[in-house]
Amino acid sequence: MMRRSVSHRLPRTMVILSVVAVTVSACGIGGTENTRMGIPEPGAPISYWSMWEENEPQATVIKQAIAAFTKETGIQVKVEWQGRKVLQKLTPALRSGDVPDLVDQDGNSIRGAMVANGQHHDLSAVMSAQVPGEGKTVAEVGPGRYRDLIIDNAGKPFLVPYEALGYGIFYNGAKHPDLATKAPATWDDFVAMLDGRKAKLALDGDIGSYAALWTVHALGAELGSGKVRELATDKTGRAWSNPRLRPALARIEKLAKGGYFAPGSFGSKFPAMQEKWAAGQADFLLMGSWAPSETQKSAPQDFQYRALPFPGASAVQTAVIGFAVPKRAAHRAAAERFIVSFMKKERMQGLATVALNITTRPDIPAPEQLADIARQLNDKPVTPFYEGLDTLGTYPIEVFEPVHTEFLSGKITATEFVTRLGEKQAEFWKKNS
Amino acid sequence: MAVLVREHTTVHRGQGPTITRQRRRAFLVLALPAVVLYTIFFVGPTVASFWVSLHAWDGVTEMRWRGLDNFTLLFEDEVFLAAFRNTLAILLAGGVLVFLLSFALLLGMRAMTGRRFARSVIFFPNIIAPIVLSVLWGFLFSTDGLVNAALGGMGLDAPNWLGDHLFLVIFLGLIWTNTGFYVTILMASTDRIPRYFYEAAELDGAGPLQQFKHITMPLTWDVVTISAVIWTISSLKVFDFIYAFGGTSNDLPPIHTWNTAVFIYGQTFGGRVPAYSFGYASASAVITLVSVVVFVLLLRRVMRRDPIQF
Repeated sequence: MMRRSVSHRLPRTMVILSVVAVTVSACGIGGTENTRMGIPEPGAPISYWSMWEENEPQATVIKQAIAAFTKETGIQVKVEWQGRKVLQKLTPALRSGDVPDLVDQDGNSIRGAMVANGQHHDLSAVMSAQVPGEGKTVAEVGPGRYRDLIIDNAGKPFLVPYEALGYGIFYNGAKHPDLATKAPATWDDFVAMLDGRKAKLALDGDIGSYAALWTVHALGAELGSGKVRELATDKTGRAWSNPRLRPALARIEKLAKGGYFAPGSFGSKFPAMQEKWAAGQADFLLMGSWAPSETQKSAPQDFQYRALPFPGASAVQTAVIGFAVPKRAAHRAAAERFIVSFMKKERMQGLATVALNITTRPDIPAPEQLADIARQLNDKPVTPFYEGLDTLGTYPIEVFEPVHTEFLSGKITATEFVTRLGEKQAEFWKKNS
Repeated sequence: MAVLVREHTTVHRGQGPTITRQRRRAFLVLALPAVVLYTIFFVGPTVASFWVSLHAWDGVTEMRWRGLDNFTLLFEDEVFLAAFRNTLAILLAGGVLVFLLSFALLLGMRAMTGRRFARSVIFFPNIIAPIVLSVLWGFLFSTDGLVNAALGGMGLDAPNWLGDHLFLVIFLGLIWTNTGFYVTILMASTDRIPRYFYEAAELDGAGPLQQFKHITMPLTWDVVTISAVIWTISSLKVFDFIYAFGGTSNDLPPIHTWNTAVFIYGQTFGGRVPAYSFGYASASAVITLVSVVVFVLLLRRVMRRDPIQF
């Protein structure tokens, strides 16, 4: 009886466990509810609002992918090349309900425009879907690595990233060939290297977020990923007085007062300083992976784009660009199917070879000028660009950047910086509570 | 004048009702499309802004009632108050400078040969895109730019214009771009004044300043009034020239350069990750609108004169 009972229950338990195991494995990056994609509506055209302009190389790659997708499935994709302000145009559409089926932009922007108001669609099913002909899920071929950057408060992905943007300290490999094998590991090594070469840092300090990269990176390296955002969201502003911040701020203060920034870094107009850097008038530029494409016209022929990791940082600040589907999209299933098809290696390859960007698939080699950044993205954990401060509404522009630029340009000390920042932050959160 | 009015009344009494009715009907028919369009695209959104300003709203989800809280917060918000101060600085100090410069140029160019060419040169900045001007401004005022090179050449200290005095640089740029516009308008108005007025004044021994005071100003007063109203409205709407100092298309300019128009953009669609605070932004738009109305009414009252026919 007992044995029979056991013999009856075992297969049932096995079945349940098998189902759970299959479901969990299919979920890939933690999807639980929306684990299956719907059946595309026959003949339904997908409406896609793109962040790219039609004359950009990314548009060329996407057009080819659309043509191949339509040939495979018969599903038409109607594209509107909206450009970078695509989400600003989407907002009124979200209100009216007449939304596109597919949009793309960087993760933080999508979070602000669609996730904060609950207008995004859970893309768990896409992440756990098999990429045709590759025997792996979408998450497994690469995008799953960026999970922390693309999930909503419930832990569900709202974005399927196809491009990754990493940050590094760019330099000309032809001018500093030894750095490729002897990168400074710590901040002290980095400063010693600057001193040894009498090297200058280029910075377009008129852009507050570019200036902030130095301090936010230093704080992130000191405190760990996600901690800077915690400081910024402290309603009292007193968190900035924590003694644990002092070493990082002292380092930046030394940089600010030590004359390390090239002349004009706080008195010119973007992109003057990064152009000067490319032309050889400064040595290092802390910037995102778009730096080579923005500066290559000013760089000499023999310029070799190389990038150092931020000294002492255990994670790399990263932004991702990818597809999202509005909650009220009429052809969600077809849009999801398009995203899955785009994740095929052959479709995404052009993003590296034609558009010269880093894709979210590590098996697609990055363009040579971004190889160092791509290596960092593969080797280190990722943390949100700007440590996520840019998702705090007008906090960066109203609070952090004005005080910080005074600090980095040497006008105020580290102590004055934290005091002023704390006061302004308390006022800001009082206003925004 | 009295005779004219009496005659006018007589005509109306005799055959007026039909003509008046027809005119009134024609007026309604001709004005209706404009009124409808104006109501839909201007009055409607303006009324909606008043309503939205009483709420917290991200533009997508349902609005939450806040009453006058947005306005209370605005008057405590240092960023808004600084933006409002900048707006007033552009309106008042900028207005005084633009008109002083315009009158000075008018005076200097009145009898100048090649004045039409000079007018075109002065007007030129007005037709160039602000983004182009801001790039030029960047070259001129950067630490190693032309302005500092010239100051250095004269043995003077070279300030950090873009770092420490950016609002002043923007302010000067606005004066430079707008002066040509008002010189052109005022010059068109002075061109209508018969030359014999000036010739007679010269014979009477009046100098250029007296001629300006007693002939030019009185006879162009209605145009000056309209120009002042145009400046008041347009100065409160200055946006692109300031915005162009924001670096990339994603970045807003530093907050100490904001006026209320940039503030509104910063609270809605501006920045890398926009704030989408439509209620708060609408409240600041309402304050700006009320300011425009108050300033225009005050200006018209202060500048009210009987027009002189000539």
